[in-house]
Amino acid sequence: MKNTPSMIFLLLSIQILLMVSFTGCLEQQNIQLDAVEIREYKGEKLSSVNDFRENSIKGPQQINKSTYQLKITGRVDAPKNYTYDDIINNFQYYKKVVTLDCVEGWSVKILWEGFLVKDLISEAQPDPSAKILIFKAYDGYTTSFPINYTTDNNILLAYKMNNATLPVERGFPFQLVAESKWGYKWIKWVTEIELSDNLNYKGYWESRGYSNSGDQNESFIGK
Amino acid sequence: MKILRIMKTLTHVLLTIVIIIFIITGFGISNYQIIESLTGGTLSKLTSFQIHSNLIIPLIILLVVHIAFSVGKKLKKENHL
Repeated sequence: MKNTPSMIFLLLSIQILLMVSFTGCLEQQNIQLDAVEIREYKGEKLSSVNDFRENSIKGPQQINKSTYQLKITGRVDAPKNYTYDDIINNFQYYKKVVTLDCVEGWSVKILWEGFLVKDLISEAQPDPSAKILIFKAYDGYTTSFPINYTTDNNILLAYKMNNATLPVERGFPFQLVAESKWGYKWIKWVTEIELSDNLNYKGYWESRGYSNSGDQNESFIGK
Repeated sequence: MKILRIMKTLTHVLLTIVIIIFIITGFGISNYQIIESLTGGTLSKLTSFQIHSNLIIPLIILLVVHIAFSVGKKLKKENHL
């Protein structure tokens, strides 16, 4: 009986801790889409647009489709300024089911639809000295890849997920589908692709200690 | 017996500390903006990751020792009765 107050205190503490810990899990998102999202593709079960966790550096970015421009700059002979419609109407689109694995421990399998990065940059006539692609986003986020990673793996710049146009929360108008890379390499709200010869360039998280390659078969903690 | 009592207290205290750090660093991963600003940038997302993942084994060991002490105490009490 003399231990009763301490037992009550202990149980209350555990209850409070559990409540605080599970608050995040119980958060329900319901993102508005322009089409009904598909949840199965060629017999493969897909995750939902609502299964992502919002972890961007400045929250979802509102980008106006009519004024949006995707710049291809840096070591190119013919810099480009694509509008949203330029990209949608003039480039061949492709579909791929790719899983995004976040360093936080969650993952989502999505059907992505988009354009090949190599098609977008080839129009700008890359200089042979260009070695890496620096992707820049509307919120100031950046990340980089060797050019041959995007060409050899047919990397997509997605404008649709699960058959619906990317919602604002998921990176409208374009998100990079950086397959076999950790989630922090999947840049959203892309506004510029700079071709550079600076092999030491480090993006937002990379300059804060994350691995520059972001390869999923390695630790994301940079050496 | 005195050593055992000291070990018991030490385990309980360490376990409490490890659990608290484990929870804080967990928040440092999922809600890094809040934790970073609260700690003046000391506990960054990367630091939280490193601490959190390195604490898993010590946490399990301390928990097992803690349970062993509690079970031992209970068994001892029952034997005396």
